[in-house]
Amino acid sequence: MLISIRPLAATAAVALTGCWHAPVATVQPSGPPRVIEESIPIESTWIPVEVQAVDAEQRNLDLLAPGEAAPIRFSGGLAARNLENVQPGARLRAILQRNLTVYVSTDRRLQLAGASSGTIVSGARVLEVNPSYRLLTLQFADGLKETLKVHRGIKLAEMEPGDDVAIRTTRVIDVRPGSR
Amino acid sequence: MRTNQAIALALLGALPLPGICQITPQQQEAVRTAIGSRIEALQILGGDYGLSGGQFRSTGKFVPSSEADADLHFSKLGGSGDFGSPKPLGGLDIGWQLHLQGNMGKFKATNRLHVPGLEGDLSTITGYALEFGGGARFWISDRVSIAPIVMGLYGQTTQTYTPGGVATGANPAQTVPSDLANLVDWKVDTLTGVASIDVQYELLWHRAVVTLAVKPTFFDTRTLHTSNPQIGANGNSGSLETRFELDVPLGLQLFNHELRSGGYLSHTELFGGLEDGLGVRAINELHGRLTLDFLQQLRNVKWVGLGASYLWGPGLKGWTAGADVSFQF
Repeated sequence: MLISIRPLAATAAVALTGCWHAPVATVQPSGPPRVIEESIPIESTWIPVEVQAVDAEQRNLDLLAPGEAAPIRFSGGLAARNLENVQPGARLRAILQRNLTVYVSTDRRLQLAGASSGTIVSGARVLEVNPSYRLLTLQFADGLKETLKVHRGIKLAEMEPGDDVAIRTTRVIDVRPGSR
Repeated sequence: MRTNQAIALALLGALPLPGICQITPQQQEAVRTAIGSRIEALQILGGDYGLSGGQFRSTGKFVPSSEADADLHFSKLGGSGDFGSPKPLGGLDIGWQLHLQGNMGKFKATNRLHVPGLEGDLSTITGYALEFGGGARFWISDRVSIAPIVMGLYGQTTQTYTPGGVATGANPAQTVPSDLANLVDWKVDTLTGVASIDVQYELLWHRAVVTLAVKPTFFDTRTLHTSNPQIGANGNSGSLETRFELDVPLGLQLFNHELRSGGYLSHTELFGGLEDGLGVRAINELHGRLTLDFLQQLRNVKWVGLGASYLWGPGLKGWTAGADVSFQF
């Protein structure tokens, strides 16, 4: 019995060494402004999107995804998805292929150099990083959270809460009615 | 007393009979007590999620000693999970998550008796159990969590005694010996209240998750219904598990999922009816698994794979193998 009590005592001792803190995405990450990783391919599954414009004649929808400034077009298949009467402003769900750029900045913007020159603007921030299961949890400006599975080789060990994330949708895979 | 317990355990499929064929009323009372402990122990071992070590578990086999002509088979299916991410508890620096767990199991114990007068007789005990409950996991630091959990375990245990002549077909009209007649062929329904506290210390080492855990559990078993008023199970049991667990990503892809390996080494001390009913003071378990990572790829599933355990302790050895599935809600 004494042998079994020892782990209890050890665990209790460890428990006194720190406090739990809720994850926060609004902290300033360490180090100078820099790009940590560019063009990280991810798939967002059934996330809420907003209809920006409807082209009934061409059967197109322009959809705005969380964290992005510009909409992306979804073409065809509206009847099959019961989306023929959708109006601008409606909330739908979508599966999207997206690219992420994770970086450190002081004002949520970063000037890129070289082949991918231009200014990128943050659409979300890193909330949590789980290197063991390759999970990256983002928090958007409206509080929405999304946990993503990233490929092996992505530099998760260099990422931390507060890092900025620029997001660009490259393809709309599917759309459904409903906001959840 | 020890001899009487041996009679009861033999009837229930755990130990060989020591060669006693006459049972006095005092001995019968002792045997009934031992049978009660045995029912309690089998229900807990067969139905409790904690004692299976977690995740899904398939058929297992325990052999109390190499000399015993007895088998004990358990089939268990269960799961547990913490829901969502930890949320702040009021204004305290403590996070909490809802925790639910459940288990279902069935078991069969068969003992072939090898004593004068009872040679070739079969004592068989079968049963099933359902367990469900929950609690909350409280994170008091980023690595340390405490989960008080309360559960209910319902089970049914049935015992049959088959004389050797009937079992072999040599003498279909053979009857149960009169000394044993009022101790065999019964069915008991039980309800067990289970309370436990799961204390875990978890840390990330490179990409591997290392977990140290301690889990004391208390069981209170009551008889709901019995077909034989002389047989019932009313008692208390306890267990104290200490566990070291590893969960290691291997960096290899299979079917678009990362291969992971891991397992645990645990030591569980048994108390009360659980110790008396099994005749075992402690169980050690070495578990290994090979799984595919499904987290965030298949809804609520963390991993799917195969696992196997070797179990040993004073007077006990055995193994389990089967599907190993973990959920995250």
